[in-house]
Amino acid sequence: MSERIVFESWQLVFPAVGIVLFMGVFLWVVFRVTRMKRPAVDHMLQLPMEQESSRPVSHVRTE
Amino acid sequence: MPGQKVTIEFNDRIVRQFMIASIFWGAVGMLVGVIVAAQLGWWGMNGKFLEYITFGLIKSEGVSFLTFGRLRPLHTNAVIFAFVGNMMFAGIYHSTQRLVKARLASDFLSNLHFWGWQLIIVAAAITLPAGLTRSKEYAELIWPINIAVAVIWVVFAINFFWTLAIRREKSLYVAIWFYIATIITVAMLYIVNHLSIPTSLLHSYPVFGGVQDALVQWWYGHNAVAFFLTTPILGIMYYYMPKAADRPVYSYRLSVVHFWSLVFLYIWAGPHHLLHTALPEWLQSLGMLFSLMLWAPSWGGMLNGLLTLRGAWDKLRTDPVLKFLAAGVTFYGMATFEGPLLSIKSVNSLSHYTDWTIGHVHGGALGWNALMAAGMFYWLTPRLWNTKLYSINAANMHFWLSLVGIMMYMGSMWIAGPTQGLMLGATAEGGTILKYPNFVETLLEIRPMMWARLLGGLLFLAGWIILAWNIWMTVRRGQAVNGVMEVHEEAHDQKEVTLKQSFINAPFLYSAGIIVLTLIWAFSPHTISLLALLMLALVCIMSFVHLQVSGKTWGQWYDQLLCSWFPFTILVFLAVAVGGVVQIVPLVTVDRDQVVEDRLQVPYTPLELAGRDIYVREGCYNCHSQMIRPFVGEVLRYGEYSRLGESIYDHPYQWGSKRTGPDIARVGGKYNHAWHYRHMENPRSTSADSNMPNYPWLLEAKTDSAALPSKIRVQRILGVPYPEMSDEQIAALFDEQAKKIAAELAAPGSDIFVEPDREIVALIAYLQQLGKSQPYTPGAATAAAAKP
Repeated sequence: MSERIVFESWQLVFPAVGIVLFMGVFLWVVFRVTRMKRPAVDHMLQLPMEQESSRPVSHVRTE
Repeated sequence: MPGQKVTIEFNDRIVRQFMIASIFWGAVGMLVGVIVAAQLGWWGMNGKFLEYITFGLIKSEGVSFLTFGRLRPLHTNAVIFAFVGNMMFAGIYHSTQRLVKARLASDFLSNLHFWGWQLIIVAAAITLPAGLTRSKEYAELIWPINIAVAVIWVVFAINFFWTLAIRREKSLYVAIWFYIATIITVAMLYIVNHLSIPTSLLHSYPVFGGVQDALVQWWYGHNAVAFFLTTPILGIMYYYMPKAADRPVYSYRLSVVHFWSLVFLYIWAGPHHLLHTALPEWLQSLGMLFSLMLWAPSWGGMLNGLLTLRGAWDKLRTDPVLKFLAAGVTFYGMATFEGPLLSIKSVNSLSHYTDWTIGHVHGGALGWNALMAAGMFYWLTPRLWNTKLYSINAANMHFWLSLVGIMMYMGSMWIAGPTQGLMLGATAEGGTILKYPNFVETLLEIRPMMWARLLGGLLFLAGWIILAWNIWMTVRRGQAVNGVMEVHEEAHDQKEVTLKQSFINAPFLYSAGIIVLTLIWAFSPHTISLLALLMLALVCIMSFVHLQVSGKTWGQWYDQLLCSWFPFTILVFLAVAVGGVVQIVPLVTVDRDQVVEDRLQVPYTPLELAGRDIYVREGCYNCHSQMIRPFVGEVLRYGEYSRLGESIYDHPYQWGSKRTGPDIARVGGKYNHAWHYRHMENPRSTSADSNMPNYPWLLEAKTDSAALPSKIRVQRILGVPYPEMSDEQIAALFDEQAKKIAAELAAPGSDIFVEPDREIVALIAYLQQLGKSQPYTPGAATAAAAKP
């Protein structure tokens, strides 16, 4: 079962590319996240919390 | 400096439309689910029941468009694309407008998106029961509908990205990231897995075949779960959970790591659907390892969602919205724990092909998707119609019915799956004979669990009907309103970074250099490798020094990138594309002669090909696999393990993913023609207690032999080594083999008489050649010809 397919060596490069990319981006993201400024984090956290009002649908749109 | 104050009125009409559509199609999808669950318990639900409920007025041994094989794809497509799809669009359109502080860019595109999607669903609801299918799970729709899906998805993408382009909020909240990943990845997956060559207006063959088709299918199938059922709902979680709990998400930093890890990892895990099959070993291991790695980001996301409720857990007692959302996120955690567990090869050897997998996916679909949908709908309805929810008690009743229903469903499948798996694999006398040689014996053992599953599904459906009623009553006493927000137009001194600026940049170039040099170091001969290592060290030192000198600039580059939707989208595409390239390119480019092992499939004769298309039309792959794994129990039960070469010309592949019935990869020659005839007419005449439907129409319907020349032409284009044949030659081969089988069926002593042109003859021809491959010799691949 361990040798179910024969590949030319160049095809082995694909998993390596993927894993190197993943590790690189993962480490970079973790590094950046730890350096995120508190005001920037607070700003993002508040984005879903913004208040709104409502208006009946018959109202003429302003935008 | 704040600019002019403007009032935005959001397009909430489209949100209401998608929400109502989701509730309706959700009920339809769940109802069909209940029907197919009943069919598994009692075969008569495939049409015979009509006799009973009409007191004999309708005589029916089976109804073609009501059989399990045709309704099961309708159930899965309805739940995924109609129910969750509409829910996702409602959530994305509602939350995006608020998060970016802009009305949807185009009302026309929004309406086109909505009505186009509903039209596609209706087309699917007609074609799937009619037997018009591509037979690839969750990708069954025929090619004209595939094109419509792609067009409407592009409409959705344009509307979404156009809205981002005119946004007034510079920052892109993490929910928007998840939506971007959904749009880009689903487009990529859908297009690649649906590449086909039409043979007629309603039929096509996929361009990939055999192992390639299997891999592409599960790369798509797995990531349909990931990027259609998970990432958009995570975006919805990151918006609605804080809204419902009235407090920000627990950790924004964690959400960023959650996003990138999930997007990078998910795409690699598809091969875990093909463990222990003829898929290459390295791909199986890749699928398993990346599935295990998924535990971390999935649970990070779940904890981030649940911890958002910190200090608000008491609200769960009174607020049904939070009940649904908290339970939904908990089920996300359960499903994403179970998924990697099932991807461990030793566990998978037991769980694969059994109901354990079915229980797992319903933990996700019912527990995660449907509970999140209910929570979102209960939160949205009062706000979209400016009133209070009609009945909190009814919502609570819905919650408990759903919860009990899911637990009954999953619990029964947790018992049924391992039970059947263990029984099917059990051997006696030192592993020389099967302990339970009769497949039906294992089916009877789990039948009580099938009824328990049906009851669980019914409870869940009842809860959903309560939701529909509750929301209808709420709508009746409310008035449709659009959300309004006052915002300041920001000064336009902050330009988005361009694509060129994003990539012609020190951090990106250093990263690319390090990756390339690492690869050269790893894969080059000694001298070049040493040189690459030295350069790698140099580049690392340079990048470190550069970072120290201009670290602020690097940080700004990254921060700007996260606020610039176009380069951000390209990055996400790169992240997901690499996983697909790694898996698919090696298999597509490899020489077919190298992957056939010691067996090579013989191309189907015209009659067998026609029979195979009938097999596909009836959805037989929903219950029967054609892939024998290299286990003692399987080899004893079904024959030698399957080789890659034995299905290399199968467009589409028919390996299957579930065994409600036995594997039939080597059923050819195991029984005589008469046995198959009787079995298709009434399976219980040959296998007592079988739950397979009757197929009486196959005995009457004529085989569509006129379509064969076009089908064989397409097969030739796809690389199947048919000799050049005229239409007359094809017809002659068809007639010759059909007459031979019909004559054998009508042998002396037999009471069977069938015309050679009936579908049952073609199907028998197909079934009788299964497993009849030829020994492989180099260069033989192109020499094989289609001979009866």
